[in-house]
Amino acid sequence: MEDAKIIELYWQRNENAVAETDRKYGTYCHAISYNILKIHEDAEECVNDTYQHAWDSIPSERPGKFKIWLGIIVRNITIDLCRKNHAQKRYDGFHVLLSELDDCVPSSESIEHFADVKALSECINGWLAKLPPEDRNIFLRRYWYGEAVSAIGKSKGLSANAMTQKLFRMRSSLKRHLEKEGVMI
Amino acid sequence: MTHMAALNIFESLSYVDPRYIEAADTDRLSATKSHSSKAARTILIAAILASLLVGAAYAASHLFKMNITENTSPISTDFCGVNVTYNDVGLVLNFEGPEMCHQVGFKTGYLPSEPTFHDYYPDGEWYRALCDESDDLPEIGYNIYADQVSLKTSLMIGGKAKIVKEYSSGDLQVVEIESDYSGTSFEISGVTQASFIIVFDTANGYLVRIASSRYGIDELEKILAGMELYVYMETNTPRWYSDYGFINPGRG
Repeated sequence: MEDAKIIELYWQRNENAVAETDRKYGTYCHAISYNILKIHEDAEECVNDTYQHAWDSIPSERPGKFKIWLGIIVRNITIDLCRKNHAQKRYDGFHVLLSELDDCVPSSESIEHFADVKALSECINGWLAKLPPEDRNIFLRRYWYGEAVSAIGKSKGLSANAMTQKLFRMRSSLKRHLEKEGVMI
Repeated sequence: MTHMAALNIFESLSYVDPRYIEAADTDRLSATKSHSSKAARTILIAAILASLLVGAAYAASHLFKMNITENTSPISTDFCGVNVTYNDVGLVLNFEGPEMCHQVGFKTGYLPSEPTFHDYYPDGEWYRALCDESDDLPEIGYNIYADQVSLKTSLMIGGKAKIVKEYSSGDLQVVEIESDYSGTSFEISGVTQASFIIVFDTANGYLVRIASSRYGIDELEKILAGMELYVYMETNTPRWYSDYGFINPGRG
């Protein structure tokens, strides 16, 4: 079913909207969440919460790119779950991704202020805009979609080691960009 | 919480230009298609079975439906231009739902005997079929198949078949069946019984079936508990071969 028709079902408050969303994007949403959590049951919970969010948000929102809109929701819900459960559970994907992203954190002995999520996002967006599209895709496949380094490498004809090195250089580049922009995190 | 600064970066990424996110998704999918045509959704059956014990909640979609009916009459149908009649069919499985459904592959963690036949998906990682059909015994050790359901094809189980257990968890519906072949046309070379476990995904429209005329339901449950399923992202319409097909762990 076309996205516009699915969204129309939400507008009509037709419960088939959720079933159609799951049919078309269930695997997509699950993959985003699972790549972060590495626990199927919790990923399933996040996907279900995403559908609930969609049901509650539409029709007040009319998403342009429905798939990406859902992806952002499930990603944020998954991050919230990690934050909520961090004391009780270890989410392997989340832990590894954050460990890698530690390389991007600007070094500063005295942090004067914290950039909020929106400001930081704008700054990262500026950095992404300067990247070649191929590199941008690689970075986001790893840190937005949580795809395995080996899988990205394989798709680009690179070994896991070579892709690891490439991602490291990109993280270092982002760190320099954030420092140059004076962003404190 | 450690990695607080990294978490801020990770979270901020959610709000970058959606066009970039979409482009990365397209890149990801084109890579997936060219390499293995699969999506990262695996299902550990053991986890599903365990969830039955703890009552974990799933929001089942139930787009697809499996209807199982008892049968006592001969079934006649046209098969490749030839009229054929199937006698002694105990159960008939019919399916309803969208025409498009997902493919599924599987791996096993436990098998009671060595397989004699296997069929992989092109990725060489996940099975479509795994069987022990060694020729030196009249019974079939097991055959395990992962199929998309065809809405146009009814599946038949021969003999005096009855459902012995039926349960579901979330999207997955599991049906356990035993069939008595004695005195029916399915009794061949002294094989008088067969066991079946059918796993049906009501959201994605696939069927995983385990059948054996050597091992009982208990052994088949162990196979099931060790299985891992892989739901492929792409959907398509299953090919239609005939109006009726058999789930049959027998020869001939």
